[in-house]
Amino acid sequence: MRKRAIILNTAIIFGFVAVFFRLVDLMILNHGRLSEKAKMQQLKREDIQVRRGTIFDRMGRELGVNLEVESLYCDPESVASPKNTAYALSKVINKKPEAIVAKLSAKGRFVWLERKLRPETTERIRRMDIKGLGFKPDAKRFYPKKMLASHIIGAVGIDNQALEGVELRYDKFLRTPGGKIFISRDAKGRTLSTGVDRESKGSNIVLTIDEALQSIVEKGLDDAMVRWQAAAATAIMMDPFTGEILALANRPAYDANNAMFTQDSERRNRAITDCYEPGSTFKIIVGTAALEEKVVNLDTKFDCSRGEISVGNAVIHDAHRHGVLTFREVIQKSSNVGTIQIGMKLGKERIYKYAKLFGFGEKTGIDLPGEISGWIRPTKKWSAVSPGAIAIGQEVAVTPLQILRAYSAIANGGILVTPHVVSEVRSPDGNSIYSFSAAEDKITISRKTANIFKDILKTVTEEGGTGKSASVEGNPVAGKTGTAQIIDPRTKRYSREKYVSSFVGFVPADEPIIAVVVYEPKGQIYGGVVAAPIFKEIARQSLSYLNVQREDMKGENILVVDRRR
Amino acid sequence: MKHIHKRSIFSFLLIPSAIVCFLFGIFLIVWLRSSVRTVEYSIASLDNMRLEAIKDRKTLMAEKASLLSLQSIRNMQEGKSNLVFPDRVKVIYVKREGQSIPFRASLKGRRFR
Repeated sequence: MRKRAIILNTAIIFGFVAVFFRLVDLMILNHGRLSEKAKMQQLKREDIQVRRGTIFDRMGRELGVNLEVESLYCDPESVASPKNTAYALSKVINKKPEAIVAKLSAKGRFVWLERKLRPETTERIRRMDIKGLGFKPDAKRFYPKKMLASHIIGAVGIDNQALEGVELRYDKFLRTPGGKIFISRDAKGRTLSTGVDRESKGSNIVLTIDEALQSIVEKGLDDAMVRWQAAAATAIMMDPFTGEILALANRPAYDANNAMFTQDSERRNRAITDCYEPGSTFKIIVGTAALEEKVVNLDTKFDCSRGEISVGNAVIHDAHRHGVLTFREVIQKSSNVGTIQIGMKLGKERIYKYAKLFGFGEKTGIDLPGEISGWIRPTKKWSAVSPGAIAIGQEVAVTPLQILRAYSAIANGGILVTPHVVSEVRSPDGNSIYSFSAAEDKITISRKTANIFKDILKTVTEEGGTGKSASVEGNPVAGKTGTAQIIDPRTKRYSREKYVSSFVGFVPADEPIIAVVVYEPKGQIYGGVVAAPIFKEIARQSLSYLNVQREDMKGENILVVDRRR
Repeated sequence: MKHIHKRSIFSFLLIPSAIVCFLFGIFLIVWLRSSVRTVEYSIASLDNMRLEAIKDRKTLMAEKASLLSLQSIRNMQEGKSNLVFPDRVKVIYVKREGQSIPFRASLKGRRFR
């Protein structure tokens, strides 16, 4: 009995000694290595989900948001039968089986099969329960208004990298760096709460555009494209006092949700990337310069009865023959002969000086990528024809936005504003981290000249003016028509078939300014016939939306509510 | 007279109590740690539910924004009637002046918020 007790005691002691040594091994000798191994098993490293900020219009309507979707990947080494798997998947993800087989048979342990699946597609694949396939959460940039304002908002690529528009220009605010987090998990792979937010969101952007005005402008352009079978068209609406772009649209356009499958011509923001010879809309330069420099007064007469004028070795004609016209009538009837005579009185240095003062030949500074500066040659490179040609808007190249900005200087009393599309950037918690502040606005002409010229521009849309069809019932419109020939690349001469028709105006005198440019319309060429009615339709609906009261109803005891913010 | 030995009291009452306390303490520690772990699982589960709800919210917000676009409304109206902004002659404007005026019901001086 005693002998058995000694054996038992000895066994227990040895057992404890063995346990002790094992503990020393685990806790002291191999502590570092084993604790690292344990951490690797218990902790899982995950990427923080990075989400771009939301883009809003000026009224807080979402124009660019994120959708939570999933992307499908495979571990080629774990896929049992690539051919069968590819065949099954091809029915769901709309890809050829051969393309899927190539991915399923690729080297490595991770290959993307399809990015950003629709939720219903994800569910269907998940139900197939195919070994070797997996899903990773992903964010898809979604533009709920589709084509609306796509040239302003821009687009992103498959990895949410900025490609165009505000998405590109304000990328540093919209994106966020992300990072990694460690999540504890148990033996079954279930994760424990970390208490850390697994999503990091970029700052939100508030645009100056208004969805409703943008929609009105786009509808106007769509109608114009159909009616005139035009090659392209552009329209911009801006607040002339602040430079806030209220709407900007181009045709052709694209759906930003499918930006990768669109053509370059559809993605081109013609309002700032295309220049054209402005034609008569440029006559405000010599007009305002002549008034400012006191070269003419409103009643100065110009003989336009011949209907043509020789400048250098060229003869420039009027579209219709006029008699003797006053300065006011020269602008109202858009007489080339009269304008060239004014230009000759001014001289090339002053024409050039005022063209530069109105911002031509320079970028407007709009906060969108891809803007060009247009083109006006320095006077030493002008030919004998140049003063006459430039006075009527030839031999210069401008963007629609430059023309709009020049007219806004007349609307606002002579100040050249900086157009912009972003008013504010807000951090995800709502604090303002950027708001637009213009560099010092330049003064182009005196307030007095601007007001006089504003009145002259009003006569353009009255009886006898070239822009009669731009007039809006109830409110006076100030504006100017433009018809310009396009250089034919084959003959290097002005084409007799291809024109650019335009109208720039503001209504009422201190309200939004709108520019409409239609490229290569068919059937009619004149800005007063092609572009002015589009302006009218856009203006009519915009005034209704903005609750602008008709001036002919004043004094009838009507109360007005100002809904604008 | 009955004599009670001090040592026997100590061994009879205090040692078992100490063992019980010790075991109870260990039990409490284990129970607390297990409860914390259970709560962590619950929070993780709630986190997942929250993420799912946020995901649904984002989808619904996008859908709402899409449906509320003027273009969608126009498309829905296609063939029925053309959506136009009202003629300004037919609009009655109501002036909004300063502070909102408190609504008065039948009881004079009573204010409803």
